[in-house]
Amino acid sequence: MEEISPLIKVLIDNKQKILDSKKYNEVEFDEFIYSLMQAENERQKVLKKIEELGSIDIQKLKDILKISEHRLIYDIEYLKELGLLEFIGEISEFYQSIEEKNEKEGLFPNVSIIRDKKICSGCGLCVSICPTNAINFLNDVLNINDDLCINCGLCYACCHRSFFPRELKDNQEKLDTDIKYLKEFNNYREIYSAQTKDNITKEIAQDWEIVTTLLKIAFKQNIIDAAILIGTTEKPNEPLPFLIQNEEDLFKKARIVYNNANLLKILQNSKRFKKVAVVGTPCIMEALKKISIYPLNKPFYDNIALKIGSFCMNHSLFGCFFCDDLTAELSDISIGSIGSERGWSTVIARTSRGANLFQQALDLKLIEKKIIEEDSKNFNTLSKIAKSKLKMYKEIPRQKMIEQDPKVRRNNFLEVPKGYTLEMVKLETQRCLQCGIPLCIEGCPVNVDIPKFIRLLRQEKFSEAINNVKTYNLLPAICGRVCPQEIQCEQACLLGSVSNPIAIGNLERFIADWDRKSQVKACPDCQAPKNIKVAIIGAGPAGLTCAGELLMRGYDVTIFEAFHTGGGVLVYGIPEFRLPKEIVREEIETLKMLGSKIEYNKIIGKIMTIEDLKSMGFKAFFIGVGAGLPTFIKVSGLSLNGVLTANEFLTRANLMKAYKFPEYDTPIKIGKIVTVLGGGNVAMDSARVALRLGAERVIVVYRRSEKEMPARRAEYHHAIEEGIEFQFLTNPVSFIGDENENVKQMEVIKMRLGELDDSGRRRPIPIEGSEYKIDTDTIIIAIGTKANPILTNSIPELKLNKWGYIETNEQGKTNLEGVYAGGDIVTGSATVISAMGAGKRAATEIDNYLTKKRQ
Amino acid sequence: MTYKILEKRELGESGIVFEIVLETPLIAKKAYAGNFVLIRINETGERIPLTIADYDREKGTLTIVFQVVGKSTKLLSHQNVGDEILDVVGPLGNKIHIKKYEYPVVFVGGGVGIAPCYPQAKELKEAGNTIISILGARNKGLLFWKDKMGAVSDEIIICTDDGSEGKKGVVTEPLKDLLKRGKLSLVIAIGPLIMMKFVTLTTNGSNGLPKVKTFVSLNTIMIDGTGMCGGCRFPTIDGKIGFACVDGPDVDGHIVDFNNLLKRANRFEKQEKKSLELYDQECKALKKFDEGSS
Repeated sequence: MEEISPLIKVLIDNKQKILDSKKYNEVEFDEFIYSLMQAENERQKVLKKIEELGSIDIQKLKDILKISEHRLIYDIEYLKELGLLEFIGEISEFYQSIEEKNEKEGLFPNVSIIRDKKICSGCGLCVSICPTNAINFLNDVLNINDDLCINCGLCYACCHRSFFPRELKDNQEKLDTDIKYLKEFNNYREIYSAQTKDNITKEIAQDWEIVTTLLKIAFKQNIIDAAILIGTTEKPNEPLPFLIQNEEDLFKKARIVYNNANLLKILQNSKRFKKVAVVGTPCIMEALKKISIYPLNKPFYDNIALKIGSFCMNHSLFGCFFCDDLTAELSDISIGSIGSERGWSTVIARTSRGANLFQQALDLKLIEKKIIEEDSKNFNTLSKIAKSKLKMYKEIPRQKMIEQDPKVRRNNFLEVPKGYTLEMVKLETQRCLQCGIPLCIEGCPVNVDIPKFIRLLRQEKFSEAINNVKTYNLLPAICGRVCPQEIQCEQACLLGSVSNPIAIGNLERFIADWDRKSQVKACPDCQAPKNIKVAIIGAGPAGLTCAGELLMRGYDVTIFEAFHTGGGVLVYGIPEFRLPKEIVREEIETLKMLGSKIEYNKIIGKIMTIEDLKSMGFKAFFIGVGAGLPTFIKVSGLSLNGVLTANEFLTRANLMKAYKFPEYDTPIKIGKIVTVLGGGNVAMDSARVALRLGAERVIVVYRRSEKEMPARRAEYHHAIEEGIEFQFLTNPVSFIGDENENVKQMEVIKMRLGELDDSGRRRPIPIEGSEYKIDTDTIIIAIGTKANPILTNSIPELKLNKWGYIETNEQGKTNLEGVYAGGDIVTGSATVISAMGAGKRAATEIDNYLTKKRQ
Repeated sequence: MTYKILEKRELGESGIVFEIVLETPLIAKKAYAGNFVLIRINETGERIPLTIADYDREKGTLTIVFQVVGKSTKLLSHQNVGDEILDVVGPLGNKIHIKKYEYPVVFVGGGVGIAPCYPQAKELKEAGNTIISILGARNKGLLFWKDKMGAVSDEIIICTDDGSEGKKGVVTEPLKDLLKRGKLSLVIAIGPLIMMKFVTLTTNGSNGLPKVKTFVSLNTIMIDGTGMCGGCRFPTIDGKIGFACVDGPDVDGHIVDFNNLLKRANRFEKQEKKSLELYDQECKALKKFDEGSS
């Protein structure tokens, strides 16, 4: 007796539950288990042998196990996806991303992961496969009933989007000499233009005359006894899967349409038939192919007698853009309209089964054909369009940004990334899938139409591209540099599931820099002046964005800024090497060009109050003053010389340009060994500035582990490259000074990670007795900021939360009429782009408010 | 918006203390005794805090008084009537609390610290208080505004370290005499840190004399002046942290840890010295150039 695999065990343990679901009767269940067991045992053998060999040696495995090369490859693929080949370093990319979900070794997770990654094709196969009927599709969305689910993972294993061995695609009847191969179409025999001669079919079936004719013949010739296909219902936009049992039904019930409409969910209903035809899109064909290799639902698939593929029409509800198959390469015969003249259909005969059926139709004179010659115009059209589905993301890697050499850049304040070249832009833009439902737009806090600007870039329509970006985002040169794209638009990018996401940030930066260098600056169209005054308090990212939006809507905008220059955190916080200040200045110039006034050195709440501004004629207010108050840790020695906040350190270095001392008067002092406390972007910035100011060693001390660091990965890697040291799971206990009150050491304690805390990260807990000292002469505290009360104190009736942040609704409306707020003063420390998003939403709300008020 | 220098004069005879009157209508409108402004003279300048020595809401002006100690103050002293200061931010900090106290209020002004005493003394006097002022300096040349302060004081005591004017000795001596003489409601000390330290030690009740509430004005190193950078922070004797910019500049002197603050004040000593040296060289070169061309 072979060892029982986890999959078989789960199924046997849940036998009653499965039988209760009535998909299998007892006999079928045994047959099902038997076929699965065969496959599982084979894989176990393969796994054992690989373990013994310590590597995947196909030749040896073939000889020892007496299994065909194909089967071996399929088995290995399966094992790899299960994570069982990790020990020899064979892990699939997809497996890595689902690793945590593989709760039990030897079992796959359920398909919700495919749905959540938005790569579900909607084929519906998993519904038929599920032994407990736990899966259904409601309004095209896959649902799993947790009560019914037995976590066997069969749905994932059968899904053609989870893993699909490439070998499956390219090995169709390889030995047949009639088979031709082209990258665009995969295997085929002949390509025709065809037209039905059967007038009744022609009239009723219209576009689908060929398929209908072929099915009619198949029924007549007893090639099939049933067909499943998508047909129209009375509601034209709601096609449904149908099971057709005879020629008559074919005409009566269903007019076939291009769609996949979860067709394979009715595959289970076909088990009482012996010879079933399936008519479907490329993804349907792919799904059928996969279960023909992995016998996951034995009674229901080996009755498929004919696969008629339809060309893919990019059914956009699902992730069609993943698939490079236009012509339903895995069918017996593919049919579509592309490549033929009006009134004709294109037919690609692939397998002998498909070719024979077509020949019968010709012999019966029900169809007439013209060969599409390989050098004809129609052939070219077809191959060109088919090739367009051969997505470039597979061939072109994500373009890597050229960066200044770490050894050089650690001594200067010049920008680290040098930007994309035109050549790189050409390659990168080709990788974009141009999705039907672009998730990247949803991932962007200001909803830039990313696919559109990438499309325009691809066409080298640069000025149109920048105009498009600026419609949504007036500060693209800044966002292209400092947005955490990896957790926003790029995280949402579909490519991320199969390859690396498209480099949206780098492309945005490219087009913004192109605009900066060009003579005529892109400037969005503004509405006619409304002569209504709006005050923006704070010239940071939220305020500048809100101002820009209001300017475009024709408002008379004045920005009040506390500092002597605009940009907020962009100028005092983010260092020159990450965001050149010239860029911020230029972006503000754009606002001035649109008519904005900027009043520097105006601390609202001190020099003027909101009431004063009201009496000056301002009708609405946006507060975007940021979270400008440092957080200190509770340790002794905070006031020693050499201990400073990141706010002070960075403001001196960035805003006051202390890195150019003595050319600039503001001094900055840097010791030999600088320690930075914290793990966010501000900590990274502080560490890297310290290095550039001449520190011999810079150590970042962070109380959690590398994994929990909130800093952008890219910035963390930049810091590592530049030679910054990290001490994780370490927390300060006290700062120790010398007789002159200069800091000389920091006592720290090691931490371990405990339970999850409110932030969803594991709480660091001190390890008793693990204290030690770090020699240091500068300590920079970068552990976050709080709300600054200067402005809010001056408006006592403004509603704040318990931490002093302003309370607003989603759109930024406060409890006071005409007063709106956004950015860090509402949310606490967050990102530049989320502040910009808040500024943008508030602008819309202010516009609505003022428009209503005027009526 | 620019900030024009409308008036400029030297105070005293030392040649290092100056008074300038700035055109700042908006700030003047909101200025009160106790407030300060941050100024940045030019594009490469640093932001330095200066306490408001007087203001005129009608004319829209602020008066500031400063002593040349480093590059920025020297550069400021080289500005003339009609010149413009690039940035003036304010009014910052808390205004003083004006009320009628039961007993006299004593001002202790040391050197350039005499100037910010003036608006406070004036406003408290107007509120009906009895004002006693002790003005001290190293020598006669550094004294100024005796008459101005005299006009708002019921009693004025002058002392110099070298005895060149008034009593010889430090300000704490006449202060002790006052403490012995009768009850006082409040002492306000503005001047060098070391002077303020000893004033607080005199009034904290540790020397057998009565304890009197004492405010000191902290003129620490600052950047933004809004509580953002934390550079101006001062430790208190009970281990807490205060910010001179938003908690002050006038704070309860008895809780300030002066020993630490004295060290903190000198933390950029080397850089400040270098900056001043370079500026002096620059001035010299410029002077030579001017002489050469004329």
